[in-house]
Amino acid sequence: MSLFRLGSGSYHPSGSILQITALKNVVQIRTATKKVSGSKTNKNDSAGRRLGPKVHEGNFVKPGQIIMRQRGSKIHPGENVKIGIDHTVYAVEPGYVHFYHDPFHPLRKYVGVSLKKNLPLPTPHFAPRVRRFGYELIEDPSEAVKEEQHMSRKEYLYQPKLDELSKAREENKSNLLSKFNEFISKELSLELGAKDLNLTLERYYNVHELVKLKGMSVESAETQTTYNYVHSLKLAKARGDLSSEEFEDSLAHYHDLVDQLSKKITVDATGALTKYLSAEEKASRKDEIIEKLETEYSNRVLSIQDKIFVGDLIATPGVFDVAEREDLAKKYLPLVVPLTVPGSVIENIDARKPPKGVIVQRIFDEATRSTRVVGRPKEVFATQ
Amino acid sequence: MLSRISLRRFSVLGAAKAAQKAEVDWIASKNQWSYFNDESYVKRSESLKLNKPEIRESLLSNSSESGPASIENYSQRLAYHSPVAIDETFKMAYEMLETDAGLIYKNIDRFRAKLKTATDEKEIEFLKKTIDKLLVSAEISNPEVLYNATFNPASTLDMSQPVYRQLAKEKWESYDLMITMQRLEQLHVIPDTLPTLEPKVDVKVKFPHNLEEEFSSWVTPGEILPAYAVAQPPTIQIQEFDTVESKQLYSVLIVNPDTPDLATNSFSTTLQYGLANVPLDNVDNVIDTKKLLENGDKFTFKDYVPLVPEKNAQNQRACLWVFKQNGELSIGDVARENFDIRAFVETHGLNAVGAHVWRQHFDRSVETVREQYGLGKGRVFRRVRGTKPIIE
Repeated sequence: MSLFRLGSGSYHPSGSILQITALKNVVQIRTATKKVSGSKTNKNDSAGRRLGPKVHEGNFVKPGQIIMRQRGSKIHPGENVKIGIDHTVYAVEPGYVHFYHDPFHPLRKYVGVSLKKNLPLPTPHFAPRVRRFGYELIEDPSEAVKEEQHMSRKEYLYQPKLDELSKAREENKSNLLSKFNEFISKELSLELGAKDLNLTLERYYNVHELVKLKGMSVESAETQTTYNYVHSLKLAKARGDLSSEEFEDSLAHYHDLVDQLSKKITVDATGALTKYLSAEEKASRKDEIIEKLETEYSNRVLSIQDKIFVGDLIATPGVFDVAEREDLAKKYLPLVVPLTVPGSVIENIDARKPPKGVIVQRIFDEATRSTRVVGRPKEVFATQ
Repeated sequence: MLSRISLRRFSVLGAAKAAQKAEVDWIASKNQWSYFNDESYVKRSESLKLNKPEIRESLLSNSSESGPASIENYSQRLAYHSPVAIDETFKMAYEMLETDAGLIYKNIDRFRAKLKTATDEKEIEFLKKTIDKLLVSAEISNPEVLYNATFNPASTLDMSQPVYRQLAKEKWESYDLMITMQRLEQLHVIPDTLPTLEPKVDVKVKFPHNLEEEFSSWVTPGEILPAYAVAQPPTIQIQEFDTVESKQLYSVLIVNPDTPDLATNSFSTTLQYGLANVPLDNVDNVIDTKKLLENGDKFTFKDYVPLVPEKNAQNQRACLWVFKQNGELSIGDVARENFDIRAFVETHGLNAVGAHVWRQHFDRSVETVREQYGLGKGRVFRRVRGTKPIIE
């Protein structure tokens, strides 16, 4: 649009009029065109948010230093870098900034911090990670001791409980050892020196504890105990506490002692110390007990005294292992005696007024396919 | 009426069918799954039998009034009622499956005969693999085998039998393998020690010297253990699922990739335990205390030293790797410090088949274990991590 329109007499650019008088003078007249209120459009502009990278390729950053301000994740956080709530990317390790592409996400741009100056990113997929240790050594001995003794709150609060546990364990151990000592000196009348006695007691304490743990057989418990001792001797030799000759002597002595003891003492299924039985002796004892159970205590209702006696027979020291004991107990001391056992069912009872010592039971009869009420002596049930 | 030719053709076809039927009948009459260690037909191991005689009898005979023996509780057993016509149905199904198994055993016989005359190495390998596959399929529907595999502890199964190995493998893949791989990846055992792992064997680890039940059972991969619980060498079970004919040699390494290296403000790898030339097979599959006591010195090229993390040195990983060897190895003196496991594996041509990991951090038993092993007093680090960069 041209500014002057000659010949037309007047022209109105915004708010002013240019008039041409008769003397051909141009006179400007201002008219009242002031806008009272502002325009409603284009008012929502804010100051720049100063977005963009704050450090550049190859620059050194400290942990926490901001690498990039952005809206949305224009650049994704890569190695040793994290992203904040407003997508600010910041370093978590000191190192050198690298902008890179990751073959696993080919459309993304990444920024990472390489811990070494000339180490490119990304780290190859199968290569070990480069890691910074970062913890400084405490040189001052007194400060080091203080720091070493420092406990977390949780650990601190657990201390009384741990003390109690270890005290209980010690007490249990000393009780067992005195029991074992008595057994060895009185029942077996073994003459052992103080050092040997100590070795023996410690050995059988360990075997006892291992056997009591689920799934450890007496043989493997003994092997493990021997191994423990041999291992401790080896360590003593490596530390220089024992010379080679002393080591050999101690080892030979221990093996002698174990040989000597293994023919006299053993530990049974429950971990109790017992006299050693040879394989034949054991087998014959087993047969004897099973025959006795089969002939005298099977297929009948047992009295309470009988039950105790059968229990004792099954638990005869050093004869049956745990599984065998369980099987025998299941067979000869059932929770409920089967209905087929003579004397375990009392027919024709008054269900309302059963005789003393009789428990009323409603049973299903397969033959007639109906239920009927019978009485059963109290002894039929293991819990009664 | 049929013509002469068609009649003859019919009779030829009929003869072939009749022969096939006769074979099936003959096999069916053999009661395949009832033969054990018997030369007369096929040799089957006694371990394929259900291991509890009373349950076996009640499984294979008709249902009785006293209920199935597999239910231990007396009253529950009494309360159990079999489905209608179970005896006939079971018998019919059992016979069909047994006949199928018989046909497979017949095939196995053929392949075995071929194997005897085969000379080509590739062919021999193929035949052996085929026989193993057939042995699995011949027994995989046997109710006795399935009972044993389902209800008996895995340690009691006869792992010389391909079918038990197959069942054990399926069980391993469904849980333990996934846990192991998850821990190896999430704890970055892969790739901090070795690039990756294609797991072939089930590796289990326990520390049998422990007197507390908590620490005496198998270690779950990734578990955090106190120093006293790992103070002695572990028992390592390496369960192979493929057939191992004679003994296969294995190597085991335990490395700690988290040893603080103050000179570089980074970490170095330490070799904590090294075993090599350990002969194992499908059945004899564990490196336990007994073996260590008898032949420990022969296998061990680096004595066991437990991880003893110093105060504030954070969690450290004990990464256990199991390798299959191609032959006997002679490993000279290997330095414990700054151990390069990748170079070691490369130079000795080892093939990683399994791995395991547990973690440790500083605890109150570290000092005692250090004393036992003569390692001297541990360093103490600041509780708060500094900002000094790696020293190049």
